[in-house]
Amino acid sequence: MASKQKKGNPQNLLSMFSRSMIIYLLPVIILSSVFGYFMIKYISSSEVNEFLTYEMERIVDYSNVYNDLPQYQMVAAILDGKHAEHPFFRDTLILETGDMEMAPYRELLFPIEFDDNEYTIVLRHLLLDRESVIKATLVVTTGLSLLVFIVVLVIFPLVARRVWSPFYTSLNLLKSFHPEKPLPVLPKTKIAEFTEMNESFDKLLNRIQFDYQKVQEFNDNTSHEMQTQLAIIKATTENMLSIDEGKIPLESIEQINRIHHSASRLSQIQKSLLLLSRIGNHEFDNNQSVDLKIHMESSLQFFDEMIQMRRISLQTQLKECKVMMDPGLANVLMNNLVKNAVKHNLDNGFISITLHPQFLKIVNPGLKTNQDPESLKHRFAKGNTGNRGIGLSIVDQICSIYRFTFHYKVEKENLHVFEIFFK
Amino acid sequence: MKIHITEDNSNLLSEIRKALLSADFFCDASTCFEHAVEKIMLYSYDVFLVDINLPDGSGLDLVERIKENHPQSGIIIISARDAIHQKIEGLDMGADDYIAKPFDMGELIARVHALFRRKKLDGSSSIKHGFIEVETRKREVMIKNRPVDLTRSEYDILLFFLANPTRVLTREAIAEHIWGDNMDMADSFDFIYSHIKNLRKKMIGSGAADPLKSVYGVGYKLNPPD
Repeated sequence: MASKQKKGNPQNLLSMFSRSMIIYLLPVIILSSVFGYFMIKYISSSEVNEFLTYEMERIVDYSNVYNDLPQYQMVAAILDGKHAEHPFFRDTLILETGDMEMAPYRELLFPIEFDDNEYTIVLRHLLLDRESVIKATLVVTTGLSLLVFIVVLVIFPLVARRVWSPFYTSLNLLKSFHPEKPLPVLPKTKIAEFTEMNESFDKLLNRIQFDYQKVQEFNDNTSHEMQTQLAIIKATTENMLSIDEGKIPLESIEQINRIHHSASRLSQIQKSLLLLSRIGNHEFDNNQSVDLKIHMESSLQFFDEMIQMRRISLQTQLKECKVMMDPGLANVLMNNLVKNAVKHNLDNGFISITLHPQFLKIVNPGLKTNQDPESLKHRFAKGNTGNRGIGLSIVDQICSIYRFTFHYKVEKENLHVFEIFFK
Repeated sequence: MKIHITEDNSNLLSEIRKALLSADFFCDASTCFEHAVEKIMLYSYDVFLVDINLPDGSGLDLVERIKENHPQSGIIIISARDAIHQKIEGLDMGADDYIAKPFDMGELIARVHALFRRKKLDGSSSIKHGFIEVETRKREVMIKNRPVDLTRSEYDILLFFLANPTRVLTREAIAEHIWGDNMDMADSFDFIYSHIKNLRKKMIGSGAADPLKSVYGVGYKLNPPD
């Protein structure tokens, strides 16, 4: 029931998907923008190369035909002499006089012969500068990221929600499952896995309900049969104990008494366990507005003689506290808490009870304990002063079905503090 | 005082009978629904003990028939199943008291006595035992005509013993009589010891003899009247 969540709340399935998508897409976007940068640079420089090569061929053709150079401003310089056997490219920076900035240029140098002289012609073309390339890359990357984010954050959840909707339908039906209610009908879906899952759940729930009913039946029958047999044991031993003195040897009386005591104890444990399982099965459902102050006062009256006998001083501060619950369980709750505080108190000790509309706090001194108080809330936990398990686990169980928070802690070595917060 | 018991388990029935006979009740019994209906039609009883779970019918139906035929009689329901629901159901149908299995015979006898007194079947609300006189309607105890001041539990314990003058009452039975299911028996023996000690002190202080005899390790028994 009250599932203990591990540290950090679990995340919603769909937002988890979107988040992981973004985490994985981030490096992809960065890598692709780097790639884009080099790609743009490469393409622009190869375009320039192609253009310069075409111009070179035009000049060479022209010089072959006319044995002269064309009047052409693309020619940046004509150098005397042959600087290389073959045409070659080189990059250079040239100061732009306009804005006094160095601009990257691509140059093609090639040898040419006319008038029997050897020359080297330099063709030059402006390259895209780094800033422009980066700007272009950024524009592309931003646009791409924007698209990706829209897809991941808007379109993807819409699609995912539609795809996962049968899952959530099943989940909600499963949440409201109770073995005593009719089985939920898990919807048929178009998705194979969900259909398979729903079929598995159907089988599982059927099995759970079947087992639950069997266990209930078994509990009922056992409790009935056992109480009847225990009644016989108790009645027989009791009648034997009342047989006139002297007719039964003392030793036998002791043995009979032991049988009688164990039978009584067994029947009491069984009654407590039955009560515990009934509470857990929500068999007490006469819920109404209950004033716990009245129940607390009647419990205190019930244990009044015991409190006086142990010379326990009582400090109470009771305010009206209305809670929606079964009045019978309210009574069981208060009785178990007060009983616990009296039983595990010290002689001449005290009990301090504070009842507020929001919480109940009971403090009493007791023996020092090394045990974790939380573990004593569970059934059959043995404390050093005997079995406090059942009483406290009944309190724990009642609190859990009404979603009250129940805390038990030990302060200053031997101050036992019980707190219940109502919602 | 005539009592009719309907209980399908013959072993339990015979022990209940034994206990009631030892307390000077007249007992008759049926082990099934059919038989019980017959007895209800033919005879009259002061108190009916009815087990709810019978092999051939529900004890709750028997309660209805008893109410029709003997409106004056007292009815005590015995049940082992689903105590809380059946208790309410049984009491709604007109039963006077409810006792859950397994119960102490002393407790059953005390309940029958209390029912007698409530229904005034024996016409008196006072119990005498030697110098001790208890007026149950006012919850007053007198010794040699002087009132004795007892606490609630001391009074309950005294009355429990007076209802069972010939029986040994175990500490378990006393604990259950006073606190019902609200106290784990083993933890309450100290309290019972203190209550009995105080009760004895008050009785002796008022001039009566020690009313109780300790049965070592088992419990206590009422001393015969002095």
